[in-house]
Amino acid sequence: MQNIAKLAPAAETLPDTSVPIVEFRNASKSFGAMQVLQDVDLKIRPGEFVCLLGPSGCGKSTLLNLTAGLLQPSKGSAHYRGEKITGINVKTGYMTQNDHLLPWRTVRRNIAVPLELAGWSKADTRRRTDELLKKVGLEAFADSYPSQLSGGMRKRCALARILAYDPETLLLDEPFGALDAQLRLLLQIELRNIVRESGKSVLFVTHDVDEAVALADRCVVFSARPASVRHVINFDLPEDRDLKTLRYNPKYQEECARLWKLLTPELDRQAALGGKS
Amino acid sequence: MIVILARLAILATFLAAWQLLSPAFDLEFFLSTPAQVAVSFWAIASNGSLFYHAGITSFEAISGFLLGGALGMAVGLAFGRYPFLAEVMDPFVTTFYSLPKVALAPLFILWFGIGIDMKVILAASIVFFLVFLNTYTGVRQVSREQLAIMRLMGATERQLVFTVIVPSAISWVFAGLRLSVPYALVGAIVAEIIASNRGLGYLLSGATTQFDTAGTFAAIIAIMILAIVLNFLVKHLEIWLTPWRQSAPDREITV
Ligand SMILES: Nc1ncnc2c1ncn2[C@@H]1O[C@H](COP(=O)(O)OP(=O)(O)O)[C@@H](O)[C@H]1O
Ligand SMILES: [Mg+2]
Repeated sequence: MQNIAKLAPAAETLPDTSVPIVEFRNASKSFGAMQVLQDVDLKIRPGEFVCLLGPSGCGKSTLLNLTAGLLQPSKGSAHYRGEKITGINVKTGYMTQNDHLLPWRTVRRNIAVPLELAGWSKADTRRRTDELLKKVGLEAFADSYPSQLSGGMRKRCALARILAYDPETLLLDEPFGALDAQLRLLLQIELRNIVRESGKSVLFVTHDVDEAVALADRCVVFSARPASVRHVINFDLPEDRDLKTLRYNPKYQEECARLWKLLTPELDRQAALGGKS
Repeated sequence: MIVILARLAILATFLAAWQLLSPAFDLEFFLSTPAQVAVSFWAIASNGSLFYHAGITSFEAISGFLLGGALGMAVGLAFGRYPFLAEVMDPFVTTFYSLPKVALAPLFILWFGIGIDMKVILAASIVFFLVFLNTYTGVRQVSREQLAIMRLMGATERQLVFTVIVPSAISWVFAGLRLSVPYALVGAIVAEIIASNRGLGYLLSGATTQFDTAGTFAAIIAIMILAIVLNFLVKHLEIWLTPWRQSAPDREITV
């Protein structure tokens, strides 16, 4: 937490920045005899884009599950806007590597799911899904089924669906993991733009150092299981960074190198323990 | 094209062999000949009795299919949603499942008489288990992750059932239904053979008791045609109700 003084500027544009949007207080989690999280202490400010990095199997997804209220900590607590999370946290939207689209619904009707659940009228739903289809560039595929889409298009559809119900906080668990570099960059740009426009907070799990530096305002590095916060790094990159040219930016390269250096001892240790991914 | 020609050749060879060998070995009494079967078939088709009996059997099979299918889906859904119920009921269900349902036919005659009811119920009791087991599996297959994601979108339990669970169980339900078609016919026809005065099963057993081999074959052919028609209907109902599954094979196979 030594870097907490370097606040990201985005936080100032949002109401009540004094209360963290997500906070873990000494949160530990065990599944049976296996301890996954140990004394995690972490505060996420509203409007912040935070990447979570750590060896695979260390407990990053578990942390997102605690935030969504799908799991409860075994010890300590998880808070959302100062309130203890005790059940399903509908303020959050979850997206995993597996996009969880409903195969029997067309792209448009997949995006409409959260709106239907909220009881929107047909006309409003139509208008909103039109907007979202445009935003993620899927207008031409509105009436296709997910099985007819490429991996990247499915991701966009899932992104549009999450935006449809407009959760305050996005929990993204390696969402672009299986995509090729170009597509990944495209979706990263879309995601960052959308998040900046809407002021959402984001917890983004990734195992890709470059991705973490490119996207995040701040990055949290976890130790191997049982995970605890090892490092918190503020990136010194502009808020309106251009992801397309970012990789030529020496500052970016420097930050990547810094993050790599912090991670390598963990990787060595993981190898020594015979950890698997 | 070549496939069709090959099939026709096989069929023609078979019919020719039957036609020639049956009288040659003096087996006409047991095997009849295709010509005699055709005459016999034509006779029941032209006097309308074929359609009358086929209509009765179809009605029994389809009613049993619908009744058993609906109950199977409802119970499968309930068991899938309430694991406690499923666990409690498991030994009873397994016991009944293992019982060949035709063994119940005499009991059903006792309870429901020898009318159409009894055939419908026998067919339904066979179809029920197939559809029930498939629906149950389908409901259990729904990923918990998927459900969690829907809950985060604000779905209530009721909404989960209708937006995720039922639709995703549908393909399993259809697998069960498709499997059930021949069994619904089995139920109806066995019941007709045991006790009846109409239906294709009656036609079949009637011809056999009169040592009318050609008539027996004609009835069997009628049953085959009915089975093909019912299969065709369910298959097209499935295609019509699950359009998203048809879009998958359009894509070339990739790994
Ligand atoms: N629901 C669960 N029940 C039991 N064990 C679990 C459960 N969820 C995760 N785990 C275990 O906890 C560990 C951490 O998992 P996870 O949070 O998914 O790691 P990460 O996302 O960092 O790769 C893994 O060893 C995993 O097997
Ligand atoms: Mg994970």
